[in-house]
Amino acid sequence: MALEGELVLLREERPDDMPFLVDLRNDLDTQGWSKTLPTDYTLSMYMKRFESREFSFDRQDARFVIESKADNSLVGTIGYTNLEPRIGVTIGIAIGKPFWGTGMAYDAEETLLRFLYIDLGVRVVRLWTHSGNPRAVKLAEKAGFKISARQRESIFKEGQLFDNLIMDMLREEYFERHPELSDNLPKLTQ
Amino acid sequence: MNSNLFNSESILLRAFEQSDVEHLHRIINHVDLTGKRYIPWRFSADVPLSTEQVGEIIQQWNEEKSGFHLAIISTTNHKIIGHTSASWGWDPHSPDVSVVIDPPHQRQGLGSGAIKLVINYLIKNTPAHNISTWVAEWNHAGHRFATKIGFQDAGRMRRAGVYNGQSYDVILMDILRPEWIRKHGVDEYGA
Repeated sequence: MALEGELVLLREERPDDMPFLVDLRNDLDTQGWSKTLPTDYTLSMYMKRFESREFSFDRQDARFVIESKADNSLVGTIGYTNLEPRIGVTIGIAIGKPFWGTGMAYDAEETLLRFLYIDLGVRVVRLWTHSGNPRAVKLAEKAGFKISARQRESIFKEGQLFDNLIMDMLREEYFERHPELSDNLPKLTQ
Repeated sequence: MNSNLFNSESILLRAFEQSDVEHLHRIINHVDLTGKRYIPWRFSADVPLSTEQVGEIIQQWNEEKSGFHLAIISTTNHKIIGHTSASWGWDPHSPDVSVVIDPPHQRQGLGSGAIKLVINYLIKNTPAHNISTWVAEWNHAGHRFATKIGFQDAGRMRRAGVYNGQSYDVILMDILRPEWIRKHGVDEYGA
């Protein structure tokens, strides 16, 4: 079963998704980092990227396509990197502009968080954004993240200096927000 | 030109050679450096490492394309007394730096001398603007050291790992180019 939220499904990438992912990548408004520029990614690059993923049970990252439950339209992409099992992980999300403000990003984030805390059993989830992306900060805060570090003027983008922001949410903070869930992961001595 | 970028009176920085492996192996496995070895993530921060593993570390450091990792050599006895790095990934605007000194050689100003050479290089020969570093919250001496050099706390990576029976945070620190120049000048050392 795919990871299912109220509005969206998070499912594996498929070859047919590649044109959508190229468009998402080639839109300056959905790119958080200078590193991901220029916006000239091709379908061929994305097919190669897709085909280069090899089967493994030891992966430390994941990429999901966000699909609308209502009409199966492609909404965006969400995933994680740098998984340190039972310790922490870093997530990332990009949403196509037509779906901004629909609640689907929040639903996708909540769905992934539930998977990370309940199924993977991590103790902290982090994300990186910057002070020039208030939409991402707001979304993360809505999901329970707080800014844990601010690296001053370390990002240059859109002609301006911004602060790099690291946001995180501890396992107990997640469960405080979700009293319907019980946390059965052993506590470390504090 | 720039001949003194990597030298001071007490130390010089040079690339690692595979022939350094035994010496570096002894330093990295020193019990006082447990959890603060500043080696690539795929190697353990606290479990004893073999000479073969340390050889791989040297190889990985020497393959670094967007940064450098150098041996710190004492000009007194010409031995390796630590290692230091700068690394910036895609963006040389915001590099991070590290320095590790062999415990018997600590508290003699050598770490401070090495990190000053590294940052001086970044200021002089790269577009570095925000220079960052990190230290585990239990590493009080490391935090004091970085603070004294001029780094300020940028925040935390909470629950970054487990140490001594409990989770710990990593403290992120940074200093901006103008702050560094105000505090240290650019030619205060090395020339």
